[in-house]
Amino acid sequence: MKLKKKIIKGIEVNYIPVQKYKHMMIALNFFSEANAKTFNERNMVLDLLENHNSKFNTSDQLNLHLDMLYGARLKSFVFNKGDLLANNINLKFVNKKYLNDDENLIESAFLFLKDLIYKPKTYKHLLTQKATDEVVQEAYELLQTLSQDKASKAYFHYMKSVSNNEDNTFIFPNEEYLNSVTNRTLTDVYQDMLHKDLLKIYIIGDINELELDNIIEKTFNARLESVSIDDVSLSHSYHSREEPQEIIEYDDVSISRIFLGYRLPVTTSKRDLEVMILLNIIIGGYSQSKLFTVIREEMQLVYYIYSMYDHNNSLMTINFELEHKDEDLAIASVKNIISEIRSGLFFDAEIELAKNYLTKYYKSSADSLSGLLQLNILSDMDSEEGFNLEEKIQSITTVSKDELVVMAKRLFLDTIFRFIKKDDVDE
Amino acid sequence: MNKLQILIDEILYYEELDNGLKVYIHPKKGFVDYHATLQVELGGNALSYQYGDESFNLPAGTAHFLEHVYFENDGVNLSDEFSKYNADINASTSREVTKYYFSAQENFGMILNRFLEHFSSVNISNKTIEKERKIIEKEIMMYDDNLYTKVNERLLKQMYNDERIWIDIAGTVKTVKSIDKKILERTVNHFYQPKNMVLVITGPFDPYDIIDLIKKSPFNRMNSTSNLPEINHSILGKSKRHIYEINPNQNVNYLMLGVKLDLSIFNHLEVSQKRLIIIMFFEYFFSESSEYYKTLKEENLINYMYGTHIKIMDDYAYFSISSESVKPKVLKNKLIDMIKNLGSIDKKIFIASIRSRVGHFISYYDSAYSINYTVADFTKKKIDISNYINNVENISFKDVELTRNSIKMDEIYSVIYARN
Repeated sequence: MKLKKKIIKGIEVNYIPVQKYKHMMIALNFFSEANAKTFNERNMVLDLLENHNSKFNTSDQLNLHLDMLYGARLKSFVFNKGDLLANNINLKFVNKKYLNDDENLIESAFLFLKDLIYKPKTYKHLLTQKATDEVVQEAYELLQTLSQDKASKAYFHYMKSVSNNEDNTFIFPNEEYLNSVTNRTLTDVYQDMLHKDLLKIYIIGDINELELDNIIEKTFNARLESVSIDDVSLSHSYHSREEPQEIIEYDDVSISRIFLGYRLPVTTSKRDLEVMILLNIIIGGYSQSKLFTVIREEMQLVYYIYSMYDHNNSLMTINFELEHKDEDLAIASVKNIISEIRSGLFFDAEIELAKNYLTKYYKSSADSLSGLLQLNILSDMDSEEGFNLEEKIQSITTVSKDELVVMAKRLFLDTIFRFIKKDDVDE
Repeated sequence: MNKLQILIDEILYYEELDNGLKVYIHPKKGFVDYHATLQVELGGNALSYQYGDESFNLPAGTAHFLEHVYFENDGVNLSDEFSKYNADINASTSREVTKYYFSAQENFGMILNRFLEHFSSVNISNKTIEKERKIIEKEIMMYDDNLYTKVNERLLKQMYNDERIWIDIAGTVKTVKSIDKKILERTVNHFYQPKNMVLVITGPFDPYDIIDLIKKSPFNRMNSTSNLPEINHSILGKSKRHIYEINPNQNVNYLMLGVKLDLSIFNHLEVSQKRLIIIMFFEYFFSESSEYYKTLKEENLINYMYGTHIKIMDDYAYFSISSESVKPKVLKNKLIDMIKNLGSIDKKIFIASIRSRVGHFISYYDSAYSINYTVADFTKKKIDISNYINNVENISFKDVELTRNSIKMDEIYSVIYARN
């Protein structure tokens, strides 16, 4: 699919015309280079815009406005691709041809977004202290809740361990910098977002370009030159370890939670990425994966087990929960599975199944409004082009067994993290 | 087949087969995914039931156990078989129903036929039972650490003596150990009858081809008996309304408060209207954009773990609120005070809420998956899907106000699990 790009008032606008959906989505993306020191503020500023707005005054007024737009859904979140960070605000709303209403919902949607972004509550040109206190307080509460929810706590601590507490894993909240958040630092990030970030607008649905051109022209002020993001790396570097580290953390839990972190060398190669995504599927990405069929179905050691590939951090994580007595057996079995794959001890039929699964996944994602939008945004971040489903499928189809074996050999075990019961100490 | 016009360009086809199976087919041209769901009216609440003149008891977790073993038939695992056709199959058990569902992108007719063939006759082996028993035991242990789950179960235990309302759907390690082949087969005979099931199919097909296929499948040759299992809940609760317990291993204090609702005052309304006005009423007062939420937040009584839940069944209903809190006792008293002195409802918000429901309903029709999920869910809740928008738009402000009278003020319960 081709993104139709335009510059309107200095803003890059990307149209994704598809007629079959009953809704439209507008996504405003503010791109910047990720910075661990301001990552908390980047996350908080979106929350602050939603809940401390001078036009809507209170969040119930803001929600009332969304409800009047026939239940328009506002979603804002931060995501990154390597060091490229996006503050994303998107709004989904119904196509008016399904309603008995003459209101121009597209225009109303853009006006809503404009008010949301440009009218936060301020005092003496700064975001308010009250708003700041609230978002900081919520970040601390999130940390406390994470420590109560054992599954989250285990994952959080594993990520800290595997990354050596480095900053570039971009997990929110970043405790180290939390106490330095002030209304001044939040205001600075907000001003950067407004004036320095690269703003791109994406619109997907049954759209009328001319109508949208006019609405965008009317809605936004002319944008001055933004910072360049051309040189921002789309993959993180990390400090590699000579030998795998093994960490055991004790807690009041009834079941052991195990994480194995496999690293691979940093790469920006598109081909490497395709191969690794497929390899991850074969290892533990679905119900026919090696890990699931062996450790759950054959050995019945776990209820769930999966692997997850995080390209941003050049990390593949294998996670499962089980009884303490079975830990060593399960870990040894996982290592054995990886070792077999490295030796090419897997079948062509398994590769074909995984390819089919992945192809189906992309076809499904590209068949949903929000999935298609996100695939296009990610593709645009990568190559300034729209998502091309045929190309993606072709690329998956041509991955060879040799490529998978070579990729598996590049994986090296970095961390074994056990989160276990206090009394589960071997005698 | 009956044709139900849902939106200007969306039609749902419906037919009840001679054996009682209710079939819903929704064609979705231009989309790539096909989805099929077989929903059986058997859930975690089936611990005791009436079948004809007899009463039966089941160990907790039987419905969930069946869901696990029902993928295997004579040594063939349906999940493995479907993966060869690039189809994903899965299942889930809730308190009221068990669902088996799959999605595919090609060879749909052949896969659907295989799916129906499988569920028309399943031979459960002891080997499968033992294998799944081990896996289920692991599954049960996984949820032991969850504070929310513990507090929720404790609250419902106080509110309802009837354990069918609150017992863990997966059962306990002990009850799971007691489930055997005989129990499973009897449960299948009683519950897995066509007239106790619903089949929902969505995707880019001709609906008449699909109904033909279903009628030619072995499933159409299945018979239903003259009996259907019946489950009626007792809604009595314990006399002790408020629980406070200290657990030194917790990092936070957690409060959950629940109030029972009297459904008899809504008898004049259609199910979707009844459900919606109750939901709208409590959302108005206690959602995260409500005035009360703002007050609780400003007084530092709740944090972002705040949440509400509304359960509306045929014979019981309740509303609950939960949150971590630094002052859980103060929060409890404040919430009780709020419930007992609810203010008036702003008509403007009522109108906005109606518009919002209409928009959300339309959004279900943006994918074959969400249509499938919605139709299955609506049949479970007995909601009239074809008149949904009309029914929503005809809800009166007076009806919403009626919910006030449904709150059983003398049946407010709370549970606090406090840290040391």
